[in-house]
Amino acid sequence: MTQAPTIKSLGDAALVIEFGTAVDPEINARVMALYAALEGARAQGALPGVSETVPSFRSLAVHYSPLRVSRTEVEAALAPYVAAAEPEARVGRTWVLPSCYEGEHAPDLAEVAERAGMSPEEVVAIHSGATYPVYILGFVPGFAYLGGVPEAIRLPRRASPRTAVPAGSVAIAGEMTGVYPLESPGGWHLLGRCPVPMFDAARDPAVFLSPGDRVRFAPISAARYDALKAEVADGRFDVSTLRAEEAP
Amino acid sequence: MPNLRIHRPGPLSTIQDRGRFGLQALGIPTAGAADAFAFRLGNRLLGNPDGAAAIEYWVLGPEIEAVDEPVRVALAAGGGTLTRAADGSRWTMPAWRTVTLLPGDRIALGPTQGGAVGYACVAGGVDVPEVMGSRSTYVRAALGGLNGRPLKTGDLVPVGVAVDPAAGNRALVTPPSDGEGPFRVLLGPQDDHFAPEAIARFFSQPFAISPQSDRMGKRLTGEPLAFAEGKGADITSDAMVAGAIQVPGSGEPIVMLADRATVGGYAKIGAVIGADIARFARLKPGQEVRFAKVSVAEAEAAAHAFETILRDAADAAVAVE
Repeated sequence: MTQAPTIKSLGDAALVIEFGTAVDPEINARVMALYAALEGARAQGALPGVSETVPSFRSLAVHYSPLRVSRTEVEAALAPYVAAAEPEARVGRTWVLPSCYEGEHAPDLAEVAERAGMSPEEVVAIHSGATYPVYILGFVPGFAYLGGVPEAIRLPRRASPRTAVPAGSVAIAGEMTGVYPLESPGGWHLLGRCPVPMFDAARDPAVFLSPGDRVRFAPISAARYDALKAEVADGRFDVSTLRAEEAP
Repeated sequence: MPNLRIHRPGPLSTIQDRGRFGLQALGIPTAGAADAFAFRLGNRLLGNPDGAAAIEYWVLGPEIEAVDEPVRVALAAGGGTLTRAADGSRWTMPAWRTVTLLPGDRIALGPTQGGAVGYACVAGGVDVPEVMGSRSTYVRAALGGLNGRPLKTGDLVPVGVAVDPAAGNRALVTPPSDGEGPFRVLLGPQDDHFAPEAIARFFSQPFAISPQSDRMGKRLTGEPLAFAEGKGADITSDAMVAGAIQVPGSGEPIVMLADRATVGGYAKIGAVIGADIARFARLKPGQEVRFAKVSVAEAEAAAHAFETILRDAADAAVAVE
């Protein structure tokens, strides 16, 4: 028996529907099911006054205008969706992101391998062998928190964060992995680099990963990295080619 | 098309509109005008829509020059010194009025009055391209505004429409106010992370605005707040709003503003209500603040009252030369 979600204030123009307090695939599946249901309803013109819904690991924020609807009205309008939302096995798309795990693109690979007690090749095989759900986007535009890093290569964050992690870095920390969209400070371990930007305001879509999607990493050579980087720079790269065939 | 040339940018001058909404699920922060009261009132003095893009500045504004065609500017929350190109005469312009700049006329904006933030709104709005649905500048991701960055000397800022210089200007005779006193707060969503004494103290003790404050948020200094037994500052990250009051492990709150990230990993004791965010955003380092707990119904009444205050303030404008 799953617990009913609780509704809490997030200021006077938003509320959060909270399904739990931990990072947990089952809790997140319930969040994503409600997110899909509410965004579907909004696309049909339902839920007047609701401007945006934002999923997190364990809750869904619903932003609304208190000038248009009262909190009581919003809660009443949301109630049937909250009651009906059933976790779906899969709500998003699957993407395969190229990642170069070689040389200068993989500054922390050797250290991670040593701490995990295995060879760098094994770390790459484990990291690229898993499929990761997109739990949430945040931190900086387009940064997707991908959960479910295999236990064998889980490490806490670096003791001393880097002040500048290069854009495109493929990194791990604890059970999370992700790709840095912009050069930013960061304490994750850098295993590789993806030549396709996670965020590009001039591209449509600027951000192609969405909450609920799934991601795998495909190892590529440094030469292939450079070739893809050149395609991206020339505007010849189409991110839709990263979509994987969906399993039936 | 008219333009404004930037001569002296000031410490942080950016182009902002109401913000970039609808993309927070992709991690895109809203950005937008930090002081919505001054920003919207400035636009109303010009007859602009509320959301027309403007130049936002902190502490000291830029010196701007009309290029090619006349530009009407509303001085919201800070005045300036106008230099007429025709005869070199200089005029001190108070805040809360519109000024018509003929080509070559310059106005040096600021310092801000009464608060840390000011706006130069322009008739027709600043006409940089919309990026992902908004003209707001989000500097960390080089998004929106003028090439995604703060304004610098020599920039040309495009303006939406040329104005008829013969049409009149408008001014507020008395500076408007959107309220005073304690900042009203709705508890949640993680008020259960705090000991009852800590919540009582949050509403009874004063805090001071730290110099470590920017468009992202304002840090507060004061007696640290204690967490509840078995709870701490860290949470599994969840959504953020303007006004959200995060409390990191130090126990000293941080109030999030326009450039906040979309999610945060510290417990939020509550959030400053929408009607009080603008006046919170304009607080200066060292100023003392107090918080008052309100109910959802009180916050809703305040949201409607804010619109009335804004409308009445705009309606009080009178014609000036």
